[in-house]
Amino acid sequence: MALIKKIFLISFFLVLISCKPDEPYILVEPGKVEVNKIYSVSTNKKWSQFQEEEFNFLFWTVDGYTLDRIVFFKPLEEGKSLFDHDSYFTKESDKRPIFNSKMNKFEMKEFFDDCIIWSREFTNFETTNLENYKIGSVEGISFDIKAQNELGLNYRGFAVAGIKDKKFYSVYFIATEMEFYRKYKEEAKKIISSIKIL
Amino acid sequence: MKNFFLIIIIFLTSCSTPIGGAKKIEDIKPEETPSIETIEAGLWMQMNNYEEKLKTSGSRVKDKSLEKYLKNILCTLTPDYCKDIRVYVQDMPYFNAFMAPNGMMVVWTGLLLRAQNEAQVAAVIGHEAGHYIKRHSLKAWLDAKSRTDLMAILAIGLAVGGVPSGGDIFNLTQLLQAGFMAKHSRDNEREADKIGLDLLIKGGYDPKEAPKIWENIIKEMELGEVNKPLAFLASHPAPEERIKNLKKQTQSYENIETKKNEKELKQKTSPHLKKWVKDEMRLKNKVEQTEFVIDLVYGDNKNEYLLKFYKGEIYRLRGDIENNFQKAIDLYKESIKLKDDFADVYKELGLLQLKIEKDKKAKKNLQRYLDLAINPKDKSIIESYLN
Repeated sequence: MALIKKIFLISFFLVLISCKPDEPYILVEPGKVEVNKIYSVSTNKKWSQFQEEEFNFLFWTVDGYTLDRIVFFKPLEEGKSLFDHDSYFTKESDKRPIFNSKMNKFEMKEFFDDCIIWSREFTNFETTNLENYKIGSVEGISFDIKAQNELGLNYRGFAVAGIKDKKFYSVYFIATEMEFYRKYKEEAKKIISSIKIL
Repeated sequence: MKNFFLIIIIFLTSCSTPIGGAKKIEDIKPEETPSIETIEAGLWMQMNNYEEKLKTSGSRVKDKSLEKYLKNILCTLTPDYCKDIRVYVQDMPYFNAFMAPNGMMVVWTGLLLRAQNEAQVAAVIGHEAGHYIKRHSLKAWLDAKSRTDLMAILAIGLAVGGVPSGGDIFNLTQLLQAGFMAKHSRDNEREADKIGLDLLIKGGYDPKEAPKIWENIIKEMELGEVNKPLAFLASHPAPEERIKNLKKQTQSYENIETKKNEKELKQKTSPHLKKWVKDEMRLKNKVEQTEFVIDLVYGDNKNEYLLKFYKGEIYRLRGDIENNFQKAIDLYKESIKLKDDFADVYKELGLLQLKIEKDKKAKKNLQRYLDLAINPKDKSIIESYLN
């Protein structure tokens, strides 16, 4: 009987530990939040945060990455790119868009565009309405995003970016034009407007 | 998993073809569709699926007027097959076009950017129509099978099945190249060239434009990364050989017309040129190679100011190495000499001068930009540099 009890307890313990999610998601509760000790933001909603060390960004989503997300890029140093993989065609890393801390506001947007295009996530990617924007005390830019993926799904969003201590900071929100952009636009605006670089 | 692939290989190699061996295949007739029990019908079905995805794909250039224009060129070249072939434009900054066996023709934007006139585009469309008429994709399939080239068959089988990409058409496009285009034999390519030129001449186009497109590609390759030929050339006869063949074939015709329709092409492509040129510059090919492509686009006298401006942009985008900024500034100034009311050049010149701390000149040029530009959307940004 003792053996059966032992087996039962071990089995129960194994079931419990197997239930532990191995997905790198954590729940972000409403309130003031520190994002990876890089940004400080305020949110009124719950979000799922995805984060893995190997990526130079983390993102928040409600319904999943492909439907809606706020992407927080980690500070990017001189000579680096937002995405480090090779281009699909050229396979040449030296052709990646490279950040330069002397970039002007137009070039910051150009760099962001080039990196997203390089990532090949979208087949159409367009940014408009470039404006001056302060991320906390950092002089930067804001702009709107329109995109379409290979399957023809339309996206809309907006982004902010700036350079502090020769490092490039950028955050963007994007969601499917149908349903999710409209659903989270206001909340995303509030979150992004609350961002401070720590 | 190994067993799964083995089953596929056995299945593929055991397929019998009601059509017979590759050499017995006849030309496809206008409005002909393959019989349901044939291998060809299977290829068509897969390509129909692909085409449905392409129709709504984000990579398709959704310019009905441009697609209609290309379709009209096709119908001028080959009225008999006008109903059978659909032409799509895909947003890919490389010189390429391909033809699927079901009549789906895809032209990449990099090709349209490089074409100097309608006759050159017609030469490529005619060539691709030649592949369709001669059923070259089916031949390629059967040839591969007859050689028991298992890997090739498997590659094609998986490619058309969409296995590797999970619905990603961009990847599928690559695989299509491998499966249907790269597998065309050089003889098939020569045959398509011959048909293409024949159609070009019958359509009233200047046949001298057909070899010109290849001459330009040779020059571009020589200026760029020669070891990495452009996709369209990967499996084709050497450009030198096809130029020679095209010129020789032209001599056998009499009463040749010389329609080029340069304006017609430019009118249709002009709404896209700014984006396509930017896409070309993003490739970061060798400066000389990119300059050569920009020359093809803006090399006429009327647009020389744009030629200088975009050449300046090539240097600016490469960053402050090898005196690039000064080269860009010089080219912007040359552009201004040719046309002194083109707003964009003052903006780029001013922003670059700010970087090299020539603030007074920079501000003057940025102000000139604001004066010339009509309702500039970036006014507040420019003003932030003026104040």
